[in-house]
Amino acid sequence: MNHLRALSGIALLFCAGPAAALDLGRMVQGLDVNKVVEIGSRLNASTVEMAVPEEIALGRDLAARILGAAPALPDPEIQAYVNRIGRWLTLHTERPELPWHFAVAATDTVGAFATPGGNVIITAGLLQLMRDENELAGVLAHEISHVVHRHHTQAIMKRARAELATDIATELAQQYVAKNPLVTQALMSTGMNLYASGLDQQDEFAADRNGIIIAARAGYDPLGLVYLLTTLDSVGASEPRTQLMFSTHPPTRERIDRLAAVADMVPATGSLRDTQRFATLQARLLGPR
Amino acid sequence: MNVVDPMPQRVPLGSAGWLLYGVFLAVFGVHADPPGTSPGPSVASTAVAPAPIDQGMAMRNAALRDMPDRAGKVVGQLPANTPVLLFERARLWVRVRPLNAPADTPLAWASLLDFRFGAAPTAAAPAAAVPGRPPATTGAGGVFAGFSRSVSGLLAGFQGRSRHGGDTATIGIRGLTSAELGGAAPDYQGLARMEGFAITPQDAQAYAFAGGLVPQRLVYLAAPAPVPAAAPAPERRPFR
Repeated sequence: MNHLRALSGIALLFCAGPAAALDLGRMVQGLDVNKVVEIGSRLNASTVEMAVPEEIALGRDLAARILGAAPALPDPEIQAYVNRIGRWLTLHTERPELPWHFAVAATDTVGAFATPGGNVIITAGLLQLMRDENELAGVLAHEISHVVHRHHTQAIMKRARAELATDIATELAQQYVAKNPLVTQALMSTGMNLYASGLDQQDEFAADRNGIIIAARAGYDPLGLVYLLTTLDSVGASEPRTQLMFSTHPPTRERIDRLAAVADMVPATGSLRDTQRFATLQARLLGPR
Repeated sequence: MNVVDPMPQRVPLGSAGWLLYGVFLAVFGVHADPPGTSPGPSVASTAVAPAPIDQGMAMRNAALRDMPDRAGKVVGQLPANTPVLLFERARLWVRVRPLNAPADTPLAWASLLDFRFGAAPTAAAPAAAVPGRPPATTGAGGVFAGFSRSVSGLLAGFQGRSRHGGDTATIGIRGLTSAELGGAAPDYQGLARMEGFAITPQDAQAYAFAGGLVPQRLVYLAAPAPVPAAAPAPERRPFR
């Protein structure tokens, strides 16, 4: 019963602010309630952004979970290639200082994931559908845009605000003596659900729109993503390997139409001369071993 | 016509193919501009045609033009569901020819948005009109049944974990569902390997410049203004 009173207090504190948390922190032994309330209070403030160190830490945990479902392809050359392209793209964003990491996951599922703090994972299944480096840059730039504009952290915090009051209470009721991974667990759970259910469609459209600019800044054809989307559109949602992507993104044809309306206005340098390096990479992916 | 056949294997035309060819020739044979009269790339150019780079399908009736621009002269219409070969892309325009048309059939420009394209290359792809790409079909599994190939090379040799549990699999993950993603256990060793792939900005820049990439300064585009909601239809009142 004491626990329930404590939990009620925590839930109230999400609205009351951190000052009152000090007392409650002394009430529940073994639980860093101050930390819980501190984060909860910040989550409750819609204008407060997650601090960069927390963003990076959360992103690492989320990336570890994605890799737990789909490990990185054990091919250093492919990984180095994708990292070179991705890192170059990040230099043309507003957050080049983040610890950016890229990986190709060993799954034929078609998909790409970004986690807060600078982690981008694309699948081998998506890579095999691409025609050239411009299309790869288009996908990476889209995911990078999610990170740069903090789409996932904002979505996680938004969902957490709605869920934490009840979820943390439930978690605390079950394991309140745990140290303080409760909030982390709740955020992780919210975050992974986000990858399974998808971001807000407006965030996806924004990442499309901003991604073509990032790609074009780096010297790539801004239409690379559009071209790849026409391929994805031809594959359709009936393929088992595309179901995850189609279930978490806006309709592909709508993405194409929206992007085409703006992409044609972006000046393209079309400056990529070395087209062989992508072909070499894809041959490694597709060829017999 | 001095046109080099870009197709390694001439695709035999069935009756439907010949019918389509007849329609296409009727369109182009009558309406195509003589070479050199168009202001842009000529639809009826007798220059050596490039090799096809992809194949696709018209999603709807597509206007065929003599140049990649709305100002181009309309030289014909391509019926919906016509498979095509893609020879060139210019921004949002594609230069195409019906898949089953003879190789000396003039190419024409159409809007990219009227088509679906694509099927990725594979070492195990069946014979196709586009070298390295499977033929277009309209069978189950999407427009291109040829897509249902696997990442056979690396995944075949990958001693990855099977999502079905048990011993190590001899293949990579063959599918990833939202449920598996949501319930995945963290792999921090895998994360460490991923972090080990990191490239320095200097290395990335050197690689980009070696590839010829030239950066440019651009600002983000504003989100398009939302389309205003349609005015409500006037209420219909029954006659009194």
